[in-house]
Amino acid sequence: MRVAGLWLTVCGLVALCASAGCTPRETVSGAMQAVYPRSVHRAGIQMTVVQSAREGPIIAVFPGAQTPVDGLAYGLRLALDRAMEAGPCSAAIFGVDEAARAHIWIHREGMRRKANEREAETVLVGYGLGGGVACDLTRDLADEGEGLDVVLLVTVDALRRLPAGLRSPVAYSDSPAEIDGGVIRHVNYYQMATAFVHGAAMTGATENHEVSRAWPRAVSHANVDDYVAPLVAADLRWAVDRSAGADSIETSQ
Amino acid sequence: MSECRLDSCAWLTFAVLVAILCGLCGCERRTLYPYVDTPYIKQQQEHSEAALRRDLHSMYEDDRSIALRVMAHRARAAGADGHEQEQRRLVRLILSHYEREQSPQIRSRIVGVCLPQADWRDEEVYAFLRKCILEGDQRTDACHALAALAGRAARSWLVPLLEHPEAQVRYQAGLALTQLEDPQASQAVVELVEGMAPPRWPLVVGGAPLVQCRGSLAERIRAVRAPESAEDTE
Repeated sequence: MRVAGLWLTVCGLVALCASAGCTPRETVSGAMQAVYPRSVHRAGIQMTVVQSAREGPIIAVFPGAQTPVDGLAYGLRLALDRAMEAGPCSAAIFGVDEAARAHIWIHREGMRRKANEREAETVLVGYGLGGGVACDLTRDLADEGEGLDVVLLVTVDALRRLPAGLRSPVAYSDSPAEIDGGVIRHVNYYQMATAFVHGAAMTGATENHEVSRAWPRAVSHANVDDYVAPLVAADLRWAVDRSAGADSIETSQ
Repeated sequence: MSECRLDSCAWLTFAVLVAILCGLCGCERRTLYPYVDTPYIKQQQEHSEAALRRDLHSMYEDDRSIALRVMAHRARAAGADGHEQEQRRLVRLILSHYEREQSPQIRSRIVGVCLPQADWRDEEVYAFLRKCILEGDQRTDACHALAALAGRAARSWLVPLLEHPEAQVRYQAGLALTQLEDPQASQAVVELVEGMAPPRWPLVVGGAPLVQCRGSLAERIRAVRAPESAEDTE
């Protein structure tokens, strides 16, 4: 029996390797590299500054572990492009391991605004593990108390890594909006269609929107950002309009 | 000795067959969860349009999805560069693919993701989206896409959906209306929120508790209305 069990284990391993090893394949349009993009990104800095301005909100986007930060065709980038059409703002995109760099960039942009006698309003947007990073950064900025509080936090299917280096992600469930003065508006979009890898309704969030039933069978963790992009764009426009309103009041005074 | 003797030939054949079977299954889906197309779009952007057109006929859904999204991205880039004819041509190509596409996932992606991404705003696209709403074909996608593309003009098509028999459609139409930055649309959503109670509304809407849906929509419309009221004051 022991030998049979051993053989079954070997069979299982062979099957697993076969199914995993099958991933790189030829497509109609040529060889498609099924390289896990994370390894490519980690060779260098995962940061793209899209736009820099002396006024308007400071928008930091964390598009998640699998999204190229210099890509142009994913949901959060499209939402950001639309927001930038609404008015002046500073915008940058960061990988999930670049929270410290994002922190420095937000401080620098905040100092530019203060030198320009403008309000320094921060907006954080995160998807997947990036959502968890955005929540943590919101808490850090609120704790510092240097006037860089987050006016808008948008999380899409926010996840956090388990401690002790375990890679398995779990849903992020506590909104930093519960901290006094931490964040004015927290919009949380999540889906429950993908087993194990999904966000959740956050206690304390201003808005929680479950979106997988709205698009049955089409939405998964992998593409939920594309589906909610128009809504995220509307949220970001709100922040840009709000900042423009605050600045105009300040100027008139 | 155990009763189950190891016949190496039989076991090896079994192992190979299982491996082949799993390998074939693995070919269908590239990763643990389906349609991880985002990382591949950047690579496919380098390809010619002929290659993308060939991908539209691929048997794999994610090939078709990637090709469509790359086309939508190219359409948007063409529009940004002032090449409107090119943008229009690519959008028409995407719409023509919708007619022959069989997969509901890809059809959903065309309406909900590719059309807003392509950002081509003309009566042909609006008519297509209105048709989707009327026929209930990818209705939720069409609601959000119409709101994103047509702006305030979408109000007359979305407001009637607030009376739809399905609670999920009413809720999504309300959510789409919040994108419009239009006082009349906002008022319609406020009235929707005020009426969100049983028995007309079920206790669970689209997998989320009714209380959560009502609270979220109310907060959203409150945030959206603040700049509007400032505009009115001016």
